[in-house]
Amino acid sequence: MSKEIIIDPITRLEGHGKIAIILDDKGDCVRAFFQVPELRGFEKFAEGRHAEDMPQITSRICGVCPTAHHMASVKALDDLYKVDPPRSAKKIRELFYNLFMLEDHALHVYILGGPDFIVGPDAPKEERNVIGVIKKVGQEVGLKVIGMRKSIRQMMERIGGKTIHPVLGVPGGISKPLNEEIVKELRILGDQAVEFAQFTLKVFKDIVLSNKKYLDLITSEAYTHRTYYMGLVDSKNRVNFYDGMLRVVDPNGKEFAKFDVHNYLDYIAEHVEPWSYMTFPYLKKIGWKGLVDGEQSGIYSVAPLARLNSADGMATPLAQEAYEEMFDKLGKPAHQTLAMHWARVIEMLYAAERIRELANDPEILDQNVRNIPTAKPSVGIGVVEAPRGTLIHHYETDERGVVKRANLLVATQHNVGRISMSVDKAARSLIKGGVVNEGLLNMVEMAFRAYDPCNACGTHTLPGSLPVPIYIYNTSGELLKIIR
Amino acid sequence: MPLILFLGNPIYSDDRIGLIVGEKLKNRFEEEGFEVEILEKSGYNLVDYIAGQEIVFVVDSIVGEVGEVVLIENLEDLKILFPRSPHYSGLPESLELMKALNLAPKNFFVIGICVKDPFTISDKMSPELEEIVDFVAERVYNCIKLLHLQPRNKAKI
Repeated sequence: MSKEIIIDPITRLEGHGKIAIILDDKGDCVRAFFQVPELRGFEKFAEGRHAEDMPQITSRICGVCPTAHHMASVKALDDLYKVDPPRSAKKIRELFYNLFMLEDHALHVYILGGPDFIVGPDAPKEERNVIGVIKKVGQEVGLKVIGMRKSIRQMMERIGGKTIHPVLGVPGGISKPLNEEIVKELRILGDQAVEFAQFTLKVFKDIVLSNKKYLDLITSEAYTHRTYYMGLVDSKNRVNFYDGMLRVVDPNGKEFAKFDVHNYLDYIAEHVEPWSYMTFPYLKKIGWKGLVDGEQSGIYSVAPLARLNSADGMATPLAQEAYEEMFDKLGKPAHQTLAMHWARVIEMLYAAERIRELANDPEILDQNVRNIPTAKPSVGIGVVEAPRGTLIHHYETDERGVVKRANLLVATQHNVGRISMSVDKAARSLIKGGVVNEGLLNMVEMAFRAYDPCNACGTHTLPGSLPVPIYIYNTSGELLKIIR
Repeated sequence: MPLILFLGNPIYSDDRIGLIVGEKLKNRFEEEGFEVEILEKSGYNLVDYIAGQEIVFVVDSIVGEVGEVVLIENLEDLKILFPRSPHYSGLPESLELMKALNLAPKNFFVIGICVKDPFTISDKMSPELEEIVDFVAERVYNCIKLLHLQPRNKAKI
């Protein structure tokens, strides 16, 4: 009798999701579904509130990417009030944002996703965690990671008022200028950040890329999808986390579209599946063809690997060098989901270099950091690249600036089609003959952990413990087993 | 100096209770020699505060009988309980990390304030919790004072 397995995420924040794996009579996986929570409840919560409050409210959606929500929201307010911040304010915002990106990526590389590779995907559960990482790389490295993150967060607190829920951005600029003392410290931190990112790249190369088994896993067909990719790019089509145009490349790496975020609804539509509360964004001009990859399918991806795939390069020299090395090895675009970790390390290097560049830009000491908005509000749309991918905030307000409608298109939503395919493919490739053990399930989990999904923390959990309970069903819908 | 972290999120219904209780007790505890932080943070974000401290108390919401105040006895309990709180994900692992780096506090206590719903996005608490906030604050105060007088080293980290 065939069976169905469901990996059901714990109820967290705004809901829950699950992974269902269906087995046939022989115990082979025939289909796997991935469902994740939505943020629509939050959008309703936003209605009737003053738009100026949104950067503070949205940064409290969850503790994972508050700065991304804060910044996307502030940019939406710039647009809402038709006010262009001074150059100094834009640079400080970008500097602040890169501090956040570096810190967040470091968390994933060393603690969340890293153990899969640094310790090993088939290592015992009790070792496949941050403790295993420390055993492998040494206590000194652990202290270095903790220390670097702390330094970054302290600097964010000094610039943004708070680390987790910053009060930095206001419509038309930022709340306070920088002084020479902070900038002096920022320059030192910038140098340390670049050294730290270079060190991380070396760790990744030494432990992951030099291990043939890991490299084979990264490049294996089980973790590969040929989809479209999207990310923000600057005027030279280089990766930019804070601003730019949205660029989409096709599975062959050819530019498919490049557009201002104001036109995102011309390019992105959302499909509904009866088995999930979450909508599946897809490229409107290609259409929804189901959970399949290829040039004929409108499914696209965001996040580090997608950003690198959709750009022509990096805007800083060390990151560019690392970018070229990765694509020399994997080809471009790189379709291997697990290469997301490699791309993330390259982005750490970019963020660190950008921090150093901006910290040494004299313009960040300019005391003119805000243009006061005067226009009547109506519609505002803002975009940034969150660590997990493109994040769009879209507000419609009345004349007083009270939100009538809000739409938040978050990274995990963009990715849900591809994540669903990743889980399905990994499960089909790995679960055979009814053998469903923890090691195999971890390898299925790796398929979605690579995206660093931000289901408001629910699946943002650690290797070594299943982030979601697993339900096993037969094809008649009978529950056979729950694994937690 | 013993450290108390009051945790919560002001946009998640009953999850704000830790913040409210923290505001009520902050001055009192500070006058008695405690260091107090009221934080909208969780998991690994707490490492910056906890690492290297001697005695740490964490006060947070947890799903349960409204108004009950429970002491979470050890790390394994914390791991089991985290689906019942928005904030425990990552905290057990953070403690393990600090232990591995010799930065873990000698005494670590999690005090859970039982609430009905810490997950729904709302700017209002459950009425039954709203009614007993002062009572809950007193319970938390007494719990911490008792533990501080007799540290039990219950966090088996």
